[in-house]
Amino acid sequence: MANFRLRVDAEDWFKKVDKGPKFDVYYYCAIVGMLNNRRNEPTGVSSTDIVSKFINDYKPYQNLIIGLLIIAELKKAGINITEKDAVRNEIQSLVSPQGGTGLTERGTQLLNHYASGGFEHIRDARSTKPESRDEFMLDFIDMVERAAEELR
Amino acid sequence: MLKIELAGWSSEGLRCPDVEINLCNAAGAPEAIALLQAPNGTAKTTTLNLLKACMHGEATSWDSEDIQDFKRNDDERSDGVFTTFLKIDGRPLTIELKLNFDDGKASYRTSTTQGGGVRPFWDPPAEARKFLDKRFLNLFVFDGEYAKRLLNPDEAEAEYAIDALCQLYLLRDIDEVASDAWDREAKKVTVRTETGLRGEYSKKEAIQTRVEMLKKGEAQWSARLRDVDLDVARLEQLVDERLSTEIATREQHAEAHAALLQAQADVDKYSLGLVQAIRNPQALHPKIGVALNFLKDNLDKLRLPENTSAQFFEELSQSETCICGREMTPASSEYIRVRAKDYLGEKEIGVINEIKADIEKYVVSDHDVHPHDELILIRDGLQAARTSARKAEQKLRTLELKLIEAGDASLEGWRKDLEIAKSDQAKLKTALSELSADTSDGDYRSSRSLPFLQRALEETDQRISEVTKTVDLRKRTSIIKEILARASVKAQEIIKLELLNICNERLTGVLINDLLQIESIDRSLKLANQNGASEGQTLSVGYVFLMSILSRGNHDFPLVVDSPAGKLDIDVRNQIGGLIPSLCSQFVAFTIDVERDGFVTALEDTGKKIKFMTLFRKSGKTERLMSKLPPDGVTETETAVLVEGREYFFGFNQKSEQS
Repeated sequence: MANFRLRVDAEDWFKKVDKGPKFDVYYYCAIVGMLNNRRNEPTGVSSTDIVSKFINDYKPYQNLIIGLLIIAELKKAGINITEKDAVRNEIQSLVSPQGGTGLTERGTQLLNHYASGGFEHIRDARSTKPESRDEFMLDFIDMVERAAEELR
Repeated sequence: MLKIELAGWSSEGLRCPDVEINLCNAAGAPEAIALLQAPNGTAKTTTLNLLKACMHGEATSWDSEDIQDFKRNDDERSDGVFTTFLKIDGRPLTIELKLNFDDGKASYRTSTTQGGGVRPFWDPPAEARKFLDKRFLNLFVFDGEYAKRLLNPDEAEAEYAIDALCQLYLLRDIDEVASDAWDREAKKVTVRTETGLRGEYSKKEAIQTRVEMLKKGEAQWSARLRDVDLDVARLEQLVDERLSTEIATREQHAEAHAALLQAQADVDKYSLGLVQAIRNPQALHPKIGVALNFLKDNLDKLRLPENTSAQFFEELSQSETCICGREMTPASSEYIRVRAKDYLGEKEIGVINEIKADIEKYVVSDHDVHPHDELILIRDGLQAARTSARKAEQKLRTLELKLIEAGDASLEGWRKDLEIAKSDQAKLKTALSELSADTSDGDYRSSRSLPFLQRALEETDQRISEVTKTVDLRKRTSIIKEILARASVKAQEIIKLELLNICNERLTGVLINDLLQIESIDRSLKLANQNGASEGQTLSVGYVFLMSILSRGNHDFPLVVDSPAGKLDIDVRNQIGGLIPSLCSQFVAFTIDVERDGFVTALEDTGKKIKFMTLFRKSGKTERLMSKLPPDGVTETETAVLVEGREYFFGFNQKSEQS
């Protein structure tokens, strides 16, 4: 099964922010990617496996994050939430009890792609790398604020 | 070693007579010699062409005009069938060619004992296909035209015959295997030549030089940074001590210093709190909770997940009765099984229910304080702490300036040194951070990223290893191809010389009164001391060459010849007739009555068993023949009569038929 993977350039970019688990950085990127509906398969840049499942700090919120992935993918596929068969099929393709991530192979890969797209969004929004964790935290909250306003 | 034998053929609805010819003896094995005496006009050429067409399998490309050529003028039938019975290493192979005169199409059917049953297309066993090639068939389905081509310097039939029958094509097969192996390997790499390999080595050297240079720089900058760090700490301490000991600034310094420490502690506390708060997506923004709740509500409205799982329907489809009480028919069972795929599995249902439950738990449930409000409080705390820290730093800086303005030269000097040291410290940190940054792309000639260069070095090493193998394989492939090419030339030379001697020796025996010799065998046969040859000479040379090579080759093929002695003088017939049985294992000839003298008698003199057959068409002119048929061995069809037996064969007179 697929693991959560982080781009190596993202690891480097977040060097001064990353004082805790690497999954924090992955989560910041994935959230920004999903809220901005931006995902891509990284090309010309390698990624590394970070973990094979949601770490304990995120266990309580695992299903909320998966819920956001479902919302993002339904939006991406142009599926109306009232279309039962389409919604069922989409969910079926994303969630799975088998993998450690709670997601299917496709679901995990898509979340990785949102993390990749989200990283590019964060990088593009700032002219320099963050110098400290607190500086990035404040910036991140502003970034989420702007993107969430677009949610319906 | 492969043995191909012709066991017979049958024809129906075609220009050649409707007849089945069996070339086998009573034991079912093809007789060593079979002679089919058939007067002119019995469509012998048509029969030979159809025999070849069955064997080479190319009749499906004939146009309707070609196909119409095989139709008998007075016949109303819409199609004709020609069947050839072969034996490949003793195993029967039957190939049937059907010509449809209405739509102008040809089709094949093949049956073998190996493949199991009849296949509706031309499909002989793989091992025999090479020898059923159109060009190859000319070697054993022989006619005067082929003999002429053997002597034509513009053709390469002699060389082809040697190549095919002495299996020199195997050298080319090996060449192809080597070429294919090389092509497969070459596709895997982009660099295949030694020049390319040298390029990779140069690249490796350039990367190594750059890595060494950067590592040297890293060591120097790290050492320098350690010194600068100490300088910064020492100077900060000096400045701090001066501010904390000077009466004019002591109290304010203590106050500002304490505020700075507190602010820094708060920044750490709040930023850690933010990291934890942010992990709850719902805390990030109220609209995120709204969106999750909207998802849950809609799943509820859609009744997703359904109460019934795919497993339930799977199990139901295997029951004897449906839950409605009706009998579960195979059709119903299949329908339920197909529709079951539209339902979620039990485990998937569990996961979706968990997602909904968590949304209920974290988003919908009442909170004393909404997680987002908590997050905003922490964020505001962090912003305030950062502001306090900045203010405390400014306060300390103001105190410094106050003392400097009051004439404290030492403090001014320390401050200047501290600024320079901090600037150096920042530059060194940036430089060292560039060295350790893991950039995924870049140019190895200018990159400062050691992880990137290290990877580039490993990749180059890998490529060098692959290219080295490829270059080595290329050399080996060239060597083996060179060996094969030389072996082919050498073998051709040796075989040609050997054949030249054998052929000339045999020609001396065959053409007793006509000293005809082959001067050389190259692409074709070149006669000594003469440019052209009579038809009889050409045929004699062709026979001698072909029989010599057939007997020398490693495979065993029948020799099928139309009118083998027609153009030969009586003494030459005698010699050829005596020679043929010793040079091939099966000889099938279409003869006419005038060939009996000299040729057939010479064949008999060899002591080999001969199957004699006589075939003539039924017509108004053959009534006399019909009245004189022997009591046994006669097969009569609507269009022809086939008579087996030596006596009838020798007594048959073509003129009698025509009278």
